[in-house]
Amino acid sequence: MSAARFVVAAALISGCAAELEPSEWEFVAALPPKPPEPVDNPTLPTTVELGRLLFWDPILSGNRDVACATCHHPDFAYGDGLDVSVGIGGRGIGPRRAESIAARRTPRNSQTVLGTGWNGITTMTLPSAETAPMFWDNRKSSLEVQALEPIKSEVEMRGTSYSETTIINEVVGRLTANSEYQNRFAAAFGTDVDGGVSAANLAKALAAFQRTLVPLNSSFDRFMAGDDTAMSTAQIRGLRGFLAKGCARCHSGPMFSDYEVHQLPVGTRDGDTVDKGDGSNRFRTPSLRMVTKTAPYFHNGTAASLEDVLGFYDNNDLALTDPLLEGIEPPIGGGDGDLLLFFEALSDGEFDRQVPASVPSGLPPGGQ
Amino acid sequence: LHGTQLYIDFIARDTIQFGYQDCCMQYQSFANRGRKRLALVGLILSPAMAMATPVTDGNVSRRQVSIHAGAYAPLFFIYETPGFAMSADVAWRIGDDISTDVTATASAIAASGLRRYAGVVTAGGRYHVSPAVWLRVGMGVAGYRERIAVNLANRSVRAIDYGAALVISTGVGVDLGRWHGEARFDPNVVNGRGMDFVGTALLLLGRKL
Repeated sequence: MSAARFVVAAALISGCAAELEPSEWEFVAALPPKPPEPVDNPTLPTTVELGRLLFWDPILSGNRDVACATCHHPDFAYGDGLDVSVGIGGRGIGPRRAESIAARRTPRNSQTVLGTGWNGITTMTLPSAETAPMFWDNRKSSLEVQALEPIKSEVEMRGTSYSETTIINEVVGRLTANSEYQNRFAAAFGTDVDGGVSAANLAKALAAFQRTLVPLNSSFDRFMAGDDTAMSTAQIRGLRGFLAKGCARCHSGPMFSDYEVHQLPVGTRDGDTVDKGDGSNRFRTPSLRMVTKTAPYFHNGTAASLEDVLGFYDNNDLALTDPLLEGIEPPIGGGDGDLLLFFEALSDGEFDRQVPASVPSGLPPGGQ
Repeated sequence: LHGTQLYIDFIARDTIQFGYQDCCMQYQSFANRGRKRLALVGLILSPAMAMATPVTDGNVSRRQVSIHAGAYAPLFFIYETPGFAMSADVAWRIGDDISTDVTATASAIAASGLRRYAGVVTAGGRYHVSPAVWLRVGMGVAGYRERIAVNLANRSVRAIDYGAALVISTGVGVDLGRWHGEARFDPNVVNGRGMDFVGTALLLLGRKL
């Protein structure tokens, strides 16, 4: 190699910036201390405890066999460990729930509810509790509006005994007939015109409890707060790779999601119809908080592991479906390991794992 | 730089193929695409090797000193691009077909937010399968030092990493007159603290002094 070529090659190497400076909308950050809450539903202890009991009580389902916690269980970081969740007809929690003969599979993966109080937060904007986007397709806004939707879904909780328009009244009637719930609703919301047991207050209680399900004190959060020892060098290298390879174009902000919908060439499982997401084949960027504990991945659970997800990004031309994703590819080879270690730093936080010993209905907490 | 680019491609694809065979199914398509590149490199190297001037004890010094420059990649690839390497070796003919040698290589990989400097020193032996082509086996030590720097809104991320390993050095070299080409693969056999890759691939082109 001539001296001139040597100089050119050396110049190419030295031309790379010594410091990586992502654009402002690609920043990642620690979680603020407390999610926002709506003016008419402050996060009060009485409301939260009522919400916890309701979250675990299968009385909210048509056949009294499915609770919110059935598919959002702390043993699975408030997901369910299944590719797509199983509502009515299933038995047990986690992967064994799908083994039941009568199990009805929903079309989508059960996302963790950890951090949903932060939905909508980005590095550029603080979220409003009233407009926080919900579900894989952002079809609803706010935890309060979201809370009743699974109860109305035939395959998730309602079953076939009630219609979508009658199930909420049925559930409110059951709660009204239960003296403990009556007392707890009265303590949380009063007994005036808008107080007591009602659909609105049911939604508020569930939302208030979910707002407390926040992952705290992860290695990443401690590192971002100034603890240089909270993340290993490999995890820091993984963070650099995450930013350098474009992952943060979508997985940005404190929750590692831009809360926008994007179209990826995710396949369908055999026998499934195509899920069009928001109607344009787009789904919301999932948060990467607790990501190592919430397999399988993608809206239909077609990626069994994070390695599969990285392989997906490696093998698909993402720009064909979303121009924002042009050129994105994961670090390959050894970089994969660093990236996965970085994901661990996002997933080792603490969260509320409390399971009530009993619920006011006397039914098994978490359903059958 | 066109020729150098081909060599870099060779290393990149071969590296990925190695990764696939080891554990990573998702790299199969990459490896398949790389075979065309490998064939192209073969087409270029084969005639060059055939035209190489025979070297005999009668017309070369028993001691040869070479300096090389070339491409470098830790295996598996940790970063987006191969780095740049400089190497020097001293070889002694101890038989008609056998040489011993000592090599020292320094390399650098740079990408946005990182600098990695690595070095490897090995001692080994060469078997000359023809006057122009030789195979090499050796052992040595490798090490690296790396600096990572990322600037976020409320945090400047800084880290220094280093590591060391014992390596086996394997290679194939071609002598074309005073020019000298070598492809080397130095897998780690004992990883010391912090070693985060399984070996080093080097492609070097240089001159004998």
